[in-house]
Amino acid sequence: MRMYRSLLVLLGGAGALLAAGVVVALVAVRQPETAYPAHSPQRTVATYLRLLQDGRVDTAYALVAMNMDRERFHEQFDTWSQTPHRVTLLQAGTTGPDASVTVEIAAFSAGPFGASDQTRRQTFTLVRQGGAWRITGPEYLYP
Amino acid sequence: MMPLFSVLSNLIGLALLVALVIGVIRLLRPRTRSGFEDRDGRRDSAAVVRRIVTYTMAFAGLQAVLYAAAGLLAIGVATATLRSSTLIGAADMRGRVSFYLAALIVGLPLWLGFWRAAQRRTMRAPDERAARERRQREICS
Repeated sequence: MRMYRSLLVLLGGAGALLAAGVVVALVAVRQPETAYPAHSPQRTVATYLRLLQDGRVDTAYALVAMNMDRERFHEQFDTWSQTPHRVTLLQAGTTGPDASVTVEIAAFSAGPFGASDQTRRQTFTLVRQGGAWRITGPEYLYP
Repeated sequence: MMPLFSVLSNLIGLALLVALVIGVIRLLRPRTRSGFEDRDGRRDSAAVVRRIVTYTMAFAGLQAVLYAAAGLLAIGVATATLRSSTLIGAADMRGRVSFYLAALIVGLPLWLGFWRAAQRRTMRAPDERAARERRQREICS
């Protein structure tokens, strides 16, 4: 009888753990991404990174004002969409026609012996051109 | 080439950990009648293999469950605290959640099934309680 009770407790605990895991998963997956005001540096960086993540490199190129031709831009950013990334805003500031947005970029990859999480801080520099923000750097993204 | 090095380094790390646990147990405990032997002192090879498989699989299942639970907890905390500053991350979150949920779904039945088998065997044969593999697993857990 005691053994059955302990088994029931164990199965109940396992079921609760699994249910909690499913709830966390559903909540986390349905969480919407933050929307920043239109024409803000944060919105421009978010749009730029989302386009790169979706593999729309040509559309992303329209948002930059770098000393880089389209071909080199493709070479630099074509592979970025192969890994899913999570980008978190850390800091943003505007000084006249210039702005900077510091973000943390994380890339998660899983293998047979576990998962690895690469994280790096990067600062995007922007300049205001014709009423819109254009990204001037960085010229590479890692991870 | 890199994945091969990664697998080898993981295996070496795991083997060192197992050797360390076994070494500590041997150092701390004087020689007693092993769970490998029956009451007459004869070795029971089938029982040894069965026991090693049972406790190794239960331990692997427990590790997977703990790893998945820690990962999902981290996702829960990150979701609650980073809600207002995530620029992009839907695809990344799906990947993370799928990985940890899969580890939980695979690990839970593995751990519970082999743990239950070990418990049943212990109830049937009290000699099992003295088995070295059982003590090693208790220490590892």
